[in-house]
Amino acid sequence: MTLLETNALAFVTIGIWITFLLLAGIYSTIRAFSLRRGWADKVGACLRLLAAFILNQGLAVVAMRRAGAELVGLDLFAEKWMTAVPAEVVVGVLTILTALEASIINMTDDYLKRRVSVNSIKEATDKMPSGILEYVESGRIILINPAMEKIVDMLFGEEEDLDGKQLWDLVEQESKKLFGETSDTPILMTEDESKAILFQRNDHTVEGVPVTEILAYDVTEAYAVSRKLMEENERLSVQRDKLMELGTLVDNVTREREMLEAKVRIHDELGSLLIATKRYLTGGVQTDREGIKTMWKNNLSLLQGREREQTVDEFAPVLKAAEDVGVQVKVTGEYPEEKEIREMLVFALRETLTNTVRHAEGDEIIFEINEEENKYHCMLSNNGKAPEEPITERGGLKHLREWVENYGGTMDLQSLPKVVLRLTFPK
Amino acid sequence: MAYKVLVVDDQKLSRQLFSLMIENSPNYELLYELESASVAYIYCAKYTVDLVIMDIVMADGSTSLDEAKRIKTSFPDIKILAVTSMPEVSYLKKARAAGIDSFWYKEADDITLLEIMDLTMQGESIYPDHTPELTIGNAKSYDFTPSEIRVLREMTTGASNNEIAEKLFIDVTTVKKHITNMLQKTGFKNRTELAIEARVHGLVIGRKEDEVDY
Repeated sequence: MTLLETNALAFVTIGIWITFLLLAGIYSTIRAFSLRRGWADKVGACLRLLAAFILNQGLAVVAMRRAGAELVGLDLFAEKWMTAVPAEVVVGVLTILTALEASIINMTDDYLKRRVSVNSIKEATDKMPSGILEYVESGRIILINPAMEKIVDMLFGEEEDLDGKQLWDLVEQESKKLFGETSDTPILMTEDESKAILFQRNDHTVEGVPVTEILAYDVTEAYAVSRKLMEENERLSVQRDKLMELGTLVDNVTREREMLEAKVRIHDELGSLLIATKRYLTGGVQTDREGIKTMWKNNLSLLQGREREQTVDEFAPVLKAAEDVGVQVKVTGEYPEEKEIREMLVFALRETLTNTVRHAEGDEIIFEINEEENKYHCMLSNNGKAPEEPITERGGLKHLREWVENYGGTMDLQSLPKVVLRLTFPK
Repeated sequence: MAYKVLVVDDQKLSRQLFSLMIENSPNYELLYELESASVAYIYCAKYTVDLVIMDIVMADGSTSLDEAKRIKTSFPDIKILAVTSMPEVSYLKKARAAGIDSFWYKEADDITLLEIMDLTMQGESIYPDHTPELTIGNAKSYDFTPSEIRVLREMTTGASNNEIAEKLFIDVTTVKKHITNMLQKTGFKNRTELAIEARVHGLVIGRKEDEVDY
């Protein structure tokens, strides 16, 4: 059956179908060119449009013939082809063209969804939960998303329009007021402290133009947790100090207990001594006179001794040791007031004394301390013999160097021609 | 000929008692009595010293174990006798590791100081079989394992679980497990109570000191 022979309803249906196909062809062709698809897509779209157009014109000719109109020229040529082809073939061609068009349109839609364009960037940034703002060197804002606008309103209220630079300066200022110091990632709190916002600034270049980006993140939860941790750490630190104090207290109590036990022993001895002395004096029992005398001497010396000795200063034990081993220590200058520096100097003096006695066989140590506005300069040397080769720092000297340098000072050890230890300490 | 002795103890009364005992013995001669272990090496370097009687714990909280090790390294013939009244469980082991010849608890009633000095000079190494037994809550000191003792020692410095784990090179879950076990053994309600009791009784003494390796 040809198109001439189909019933009116079928013919109209085919006509409507071809019209839709033509419209779809026009749509596809416009999209292929406007989206700048490849040549294959453009050519394909044009061919499909052409096919639909030809079918449309052919159908128009057949419609004219069915209406009894007179055909001339190209219309006659078209009629010959359109009436020769069975209607089923026309429907088949239409079906193929429709399926092709539909799949091309579908593929183009997928492509559009995946494609990143100027609009898609805006769409994405607008949907971001974090704030983003970009500005150029002059401070002019070139991009700001709704989240950032909301954050700025929330934090700064009804401020005048801020440019990018002004905004960052304000963020830094307010953060410094809150925390007392600047940071690369300042945090701001809302007035009611219900929200904490972290800001970050990055510089980059877009097509040769320097652009600064400000990012803002809601870190309320993380901030609350870190505050809690800080408080807990403070509490633990206080507890730690108390435990260490307790330790010292326990040590002191143990010492007192030891002393008390010693005193009890002395007390018991005195008791026995008094009994022995009484027996001796009454002459009732044969007693060792010299033995009693010695015991009185010993006990009296214990009773006369001070209970607690007070160490004059940290240098006393090492200075006494020097005296006991026959080394004179000549000190010039005043000892520093800072406790840790004094401890380091005691250590250094002890090392020098050890070296003097053990290796150098000297009997004099020079210990000079010079105080300047910002530092102390100390020097230790002895009058003994020099080492045969440079001293290798290990053990005590190594420990001293680490200690001094951790404190911020310097240590210089000269081995030849004589051993000189120079130390400096910042005040 | 009498053995020459150095007495090292930060308490004057203790030094005097030791000194009196030495002077009253024909076998020993007091060379010097020292307040601080830090200078003992200097005397050993200068004089012929046969025996050093050394209190382990000094007034400033440090121990004399490092000094003892230093002396034994440079002067292996010098005998060292460590004395203490602190029952800290690690001292026996640390004293052995430092090369200390003998060890005496001041409260010991099974052997006198002079006896232990005589045995030491004869070449014997006299150590107590164990630390004095202590009661911590419902537990005895020997109820704790060595790992638990190590964790407990760090607890007395106020260290957190993470800090303890880092210092002892163990997992933090292991630290928690040890603490839980100790709380169960002692019946204490929390770690603070456990740390305080352990410290007060001297079972462990945690210190934050640098050790110098001579």
